[in-house]
Amino acid sequence: MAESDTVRPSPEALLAEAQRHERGRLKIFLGAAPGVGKTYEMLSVARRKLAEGVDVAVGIVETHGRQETEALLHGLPRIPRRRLTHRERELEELDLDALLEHKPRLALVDELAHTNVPGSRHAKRYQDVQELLDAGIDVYTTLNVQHLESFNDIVGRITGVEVRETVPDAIIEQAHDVELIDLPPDDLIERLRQGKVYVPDAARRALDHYFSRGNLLALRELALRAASERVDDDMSVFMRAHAIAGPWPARGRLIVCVDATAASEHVIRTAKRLADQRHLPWTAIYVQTLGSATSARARLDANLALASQLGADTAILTGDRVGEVIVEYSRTHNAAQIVVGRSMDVRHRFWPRRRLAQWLLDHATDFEITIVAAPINGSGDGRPVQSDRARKWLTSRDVALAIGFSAGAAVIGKLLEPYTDSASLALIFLLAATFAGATGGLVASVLCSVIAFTAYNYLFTEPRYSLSVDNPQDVTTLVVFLAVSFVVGQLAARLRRQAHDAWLSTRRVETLFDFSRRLATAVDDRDLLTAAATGLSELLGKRCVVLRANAQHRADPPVELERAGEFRDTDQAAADWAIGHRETAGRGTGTLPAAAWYFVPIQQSGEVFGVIGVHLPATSDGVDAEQNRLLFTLQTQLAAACERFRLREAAQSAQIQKAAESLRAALLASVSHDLRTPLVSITGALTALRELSHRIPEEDQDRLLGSAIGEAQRLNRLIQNLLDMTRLSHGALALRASAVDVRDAVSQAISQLDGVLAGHQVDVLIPATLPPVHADATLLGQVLANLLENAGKFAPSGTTVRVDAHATADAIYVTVADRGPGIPAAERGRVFDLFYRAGQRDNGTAGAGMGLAISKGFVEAMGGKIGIADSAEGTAVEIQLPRAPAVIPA
Amino acid sequence: MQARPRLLIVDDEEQIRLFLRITLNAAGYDPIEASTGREAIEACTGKKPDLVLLDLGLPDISGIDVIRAVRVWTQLPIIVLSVRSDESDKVAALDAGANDYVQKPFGTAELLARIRASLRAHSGETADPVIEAGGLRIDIPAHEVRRDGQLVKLSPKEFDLLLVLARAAGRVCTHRHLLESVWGKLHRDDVQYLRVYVGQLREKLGDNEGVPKHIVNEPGIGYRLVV
Repeated sequence: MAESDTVRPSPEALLAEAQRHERGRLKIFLGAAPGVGKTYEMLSVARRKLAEGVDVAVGIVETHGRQETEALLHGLPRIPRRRLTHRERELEELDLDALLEHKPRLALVDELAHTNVPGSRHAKRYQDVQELLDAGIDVYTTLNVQHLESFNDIVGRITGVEVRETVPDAIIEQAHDVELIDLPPDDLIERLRQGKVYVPDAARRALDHYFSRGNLLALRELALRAASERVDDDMSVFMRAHAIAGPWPARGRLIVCVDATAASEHVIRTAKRLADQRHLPWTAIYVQTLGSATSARARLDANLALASQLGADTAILTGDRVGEVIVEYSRTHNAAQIVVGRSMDVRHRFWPRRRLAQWLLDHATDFEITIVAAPINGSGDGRPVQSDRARKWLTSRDVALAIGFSAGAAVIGKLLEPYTDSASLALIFLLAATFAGATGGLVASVLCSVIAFTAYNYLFTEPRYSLSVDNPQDVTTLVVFLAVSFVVGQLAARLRRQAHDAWLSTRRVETLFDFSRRLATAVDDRDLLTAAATGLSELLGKRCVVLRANAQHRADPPVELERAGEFRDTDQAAADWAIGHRETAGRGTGTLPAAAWYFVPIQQSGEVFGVIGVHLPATSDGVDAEQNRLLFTLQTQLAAACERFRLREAAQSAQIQKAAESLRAALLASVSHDLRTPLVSITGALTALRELSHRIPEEDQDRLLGSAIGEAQRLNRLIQNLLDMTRLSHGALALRASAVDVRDAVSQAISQLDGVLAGHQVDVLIPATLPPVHADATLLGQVLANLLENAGKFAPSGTTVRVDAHATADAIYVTVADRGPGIPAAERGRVFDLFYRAGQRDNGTAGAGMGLAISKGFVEAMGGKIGIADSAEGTAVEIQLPRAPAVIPA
Repeated sequence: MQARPRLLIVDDEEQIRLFLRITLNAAGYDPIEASTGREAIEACTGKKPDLVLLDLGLPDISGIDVIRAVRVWTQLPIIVLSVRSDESDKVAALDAGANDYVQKPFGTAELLARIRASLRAHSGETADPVIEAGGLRIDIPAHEVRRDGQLVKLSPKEFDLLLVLARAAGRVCTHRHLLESVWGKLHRDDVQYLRVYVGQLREKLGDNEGVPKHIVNEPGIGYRLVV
């Protein structure tokens, strides 16, 4: 299996290569520290390119006043920078739009990790670079190793300086080329001493430490590692793309165990590096146990989001025994390696805490286990997630509940005091602590226990109204009371929390169910979007819109919102960006944060159907982690619904096409049969006359000639019918309506059909007094000819064909009736369809249903109606036409 | 003088029957007519025709059903008259037991030639050990084929194939009939065998692949050995 997998070129690898060719190419000049000469090298290479005739433009390059660098910059075409005012300071930024418009072959954009001035399109410069690459522009850029996301915390630990500007590792993986600018640490320190390295004054002291020889050696090591990993990566992509059977290990998966602590962040980054080095796909898993607290949820979400950002799959598993769940998952997912943090615990109920790492070492013996040490200086805690602070450990509600319940117990106790002893009174206070736990949670319960204990001591133990206790029995009561109230309160609190969790998860399921039901009942696309928007608004408690992606990969603008001024150009730009880049955009994100909406693309298997927009005006709260998760889940459902609609449309259009094709086939068969039949007689008669004339009696020769002429006329009628039908369907038939005598029309039709009706007796039963019809004489003649020809064709010879007519106050009815097989009632409505023939089930009669269809067209064009009348025997076709206006003799 | 062969004309078009009647009469046959499938089956029993000219598009039952009904009790030759557009109908008719087909519209000479070929094949059904067709002489007991007196060396399969074609000389043989007769029922759909062997046969018989004069291709239907 593994063998064949590797020999076939992997589609992902081919795709990755193909994408590199379409997009612009990114070259990163990677350095270990500022001052190693990245910018200098970049400019030197760019000058060479310029000399080769490449269209180079400088987007932004910081020379920091270095003269050598300035000299290199001279002569390179520059795009003017954008000036922005932020907090009354004038700042200069890369002018992305100008650069995109100029569209050079190669753009120079210094300092990839730079954070843009607020108000720019993207929060980070690397996002600008992405856009340039998307536009097909090659980009040269510079980057120091400490800015790489997965190296960030190592650098922090080595140098003690926290670096806030990071770029995702993905960008270095995307780069077409990474050039390592290496400078031995001693040389760098020398340059620093000579003042050749730009260092802002404010940071000088911190940087003195930063540029110590030890730090620089470590950083250089890191840069070399990043570059060499990158080289490995290139090699493996190349080998896979070209299906070279290399020494691939059986490809397993790397599993990293994540918990809801800050320490996990470091574990995740380590796992990312391990996975990269070994070219393993990796998954971050979290095991949710029955007692897992929901309060740490935000931290967990942040951890999983980080893993996902670093390229991992994520999974949340449930189970009581963490270790066993992990091993089971690893086994079913072909894991090769499990990465776990040293500090993680296996929490078994009624069991002392145990290290997860130790448990795995003991039990998961068929996996390679990697244990990651906790960060020494705890720098992992350096970036708290906002929601962690959101819930304070003690709220005023807890205090109020504790005091309230204690006071209540005191009042009741005072009232009951005359009737009962002090030990029973203690039970009332116990009840108060239990209530506090049940309604307020753990903190309220503990607080209430303490207050109740004090109050009881103060009010009901001797000596009264003092906190001292005389009676040894009271001491026992008090101690037991405190212990019991603690335990009961905690139990109540836990019960409450579990009930709350259960309620939350029920509500979540109901929410999803409700949402999917709304989507399922939508009847069309528009309905679906409206239903989704309404559902989302209710679920999130915020205004939501759902915008469809149009053919240009932009969002269809919400017209009403635009008119109301609630959807501005920035919002539209953010929505378009979200669709175009398949990433979130707008408020609260790194892209176009100035927008008033937060946009999540609706996507499934690489296809974008639209965006969900959540309205977040400046006054409202943002979207919290729980809501965001909900939003992504709902997005998936919505995408599935959109996909379903699209498939349904495709199926429908396929059906229509099939119907059109079968009509075309019927047309061909019909025309071919009807045109050829007369030709058979004509060809046959003529060849017989040529080849056998000496043997054919003269009388028969005449009959042959007569037949040939008759058939030629029939062919002519047929062609006339076809032409008229075409003209009719194009509306090009000109009517010349006048008062027409029906008897004239009938006799004219019969005269056209001498051959066809030769075997039949035709009775024309039209009273001479019948008023004229208002019709086109030629068309009426043709209609009657068609009807009579059908009668002649389908009714057996020797039978009678009858034509009669009668008048009403405003219409004339003409009926052509035969004694043929008749048309079943069920088919009467369809015989007027083009190419329909009664009794088509037997494929014997391939043939034309054109006559009736054309007749119907003509009659309707003349303002009349045609239909099959009820008759005892055979077929009766009835035409209704308007009466000609009465002519008043002058 | 031999009695005039009786031909049954089955067609629902009056004008076609008229010209066939006159033509066949003049060519020395005794034509009788039927305008529906049922009449045709009746006529086959009651009037004992020597050959049937059958239109596939009949108003009551399909021509193929007529062939099947007739083939239950007699091997009398049936020539199908059909338009070009329904190749599959033609193959179905031939598979159902029709002996040949003539494509509409047709000339008198072609029709008469086909009638003669079918009548001759039918009358000579008593196995003739030597078949002569179009300059070829096939001696079945001797397994010998001569072209213009020259011995032609054929493989057993090539000989079998030529034999089937020669026994139906002048008439079309469907792909399926040829495959079943030479290779057996299992190979009835392996039309590529035929292409290869017919190519080899044509080469050995000195036939030009582009304009063959012995083994003619009937696209979508089969092959015909020209007499």
